[in-house]
Amino acid sequence: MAQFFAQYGDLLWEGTLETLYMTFVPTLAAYVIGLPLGVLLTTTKPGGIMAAPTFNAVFGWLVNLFRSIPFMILIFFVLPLTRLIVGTSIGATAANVPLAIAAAPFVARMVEQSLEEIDQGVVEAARCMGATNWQIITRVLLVESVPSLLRGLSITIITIFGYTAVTGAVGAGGLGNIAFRFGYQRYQTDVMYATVVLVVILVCIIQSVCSFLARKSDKRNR
Amino acid sequence: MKKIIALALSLCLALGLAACGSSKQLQIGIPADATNGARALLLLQDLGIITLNDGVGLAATERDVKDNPYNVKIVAMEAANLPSSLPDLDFAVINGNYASGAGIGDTVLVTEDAESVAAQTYGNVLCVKEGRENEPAVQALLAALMSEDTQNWIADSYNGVVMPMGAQDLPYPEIAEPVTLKVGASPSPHAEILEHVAPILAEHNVTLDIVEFDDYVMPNTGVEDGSLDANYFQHQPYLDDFNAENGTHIVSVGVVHYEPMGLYPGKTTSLDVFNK
Repeated sequence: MAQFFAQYGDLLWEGTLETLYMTFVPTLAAYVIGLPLGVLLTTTKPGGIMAAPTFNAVFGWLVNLFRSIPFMILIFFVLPLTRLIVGTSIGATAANVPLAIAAAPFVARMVEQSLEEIDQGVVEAARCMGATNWQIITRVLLVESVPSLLRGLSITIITIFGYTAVTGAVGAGGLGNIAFRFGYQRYQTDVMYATVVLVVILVCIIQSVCSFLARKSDKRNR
Repeated sequence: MKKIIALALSLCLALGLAACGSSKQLQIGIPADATNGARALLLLQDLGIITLNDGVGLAATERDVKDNPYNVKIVAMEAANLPSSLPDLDFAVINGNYASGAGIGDTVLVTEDAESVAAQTYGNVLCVKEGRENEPAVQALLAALMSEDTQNWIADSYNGVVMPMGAQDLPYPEIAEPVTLKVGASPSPHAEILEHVAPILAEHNVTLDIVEFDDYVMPNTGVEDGSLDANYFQHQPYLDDFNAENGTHIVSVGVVHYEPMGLYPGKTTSLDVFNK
């Protein structure tokens, strides 16, 4: 055991850092892009507070389009864009661009779903009190849906976490890449088991933290 | 709640900065898969850029780098993606077929030579069933394949993607009665090379019947059951594997060509940086 860690400890530690970096930075970027998109998707729906059915249909179709590109293909497809944004097409930093692009429409759908759950009565009440659309979005929709948004966040983080496994294709490293290259390709099953254990632990931590926050923020629990 | 968000944000930033810290190093891309990655590292070792741990051979990974006098950073990535990543790398070690497919075959700085471990190991072999190695027609085919004419033709025809193992002046046995030799081969380059030697063999009373295969099993089972006299499509490790798996008795008669990896220029165009 001690020998194993002496031999692979640095590799696994580096892989863990790379995986966390490739998980949280794209998550942040995906929410910066995806949260407004999700709000738009909900509010422009027929019957929404800013109903615009044609826009909504076209917009929804665009979101679906980006969600349907397999991630492995997307990595190579957006290479020129990646180079433009971060100045390189290789390594973990470069992997963040396709990860964020893949996750943003996903986030948009997660947000849409969370906002949909809000009781229309609450929106009506705010409207009756003279709230503007902006106020309804920022003071009602986004506030009321926080527990659900946080649960969506955990799903998003863990999905991106899973995506990072294939970013080894652009030399980004990460735990998934270590499991594949050293564990699978070179039959070092001990490395494979170690990465799997690490991945399970990390996912459990992410899920627990998000669930805890969701529970805390739910006013029904106060 | 706000504190937690702030904590998460600063964690992201810290991780981001940590990742940006390492640059200014020469970056060399290599294929991420086991065999090609090891071949790439061996080529870098042959060029004196790195030294690997003793005896790792074709099991080498970037973790086996012992000495790194030029402080290069080895970036392992998808083999097919290396040509399009060249603008972001200083150099990359690329398989000939991918380089050729990307249209950069002629920019190669240096390739594996015929003496390298990789060429010796993964050279493509002419095979027959055990016991038939010394038949005159088989020997004639080998002589024709290894002749200076054929080996030069291979060197000239494939733009460096297929390289000859080096000419050998083997004797053509006397063949009195005309013989037909049925040889299984992959369409390219193997069948093309055989087409090239067919007229040479015809002068020595051997007619070559080339049967093209797209799979890698039939040519071996054909040689084993006698429906083929020889085959030419595989390298020695594959043959050894096949024999072990299927209990067949197929042997190599000679190594004809190899498909080399080469070092290609990216941001840095000259190997002079390694002459300090």
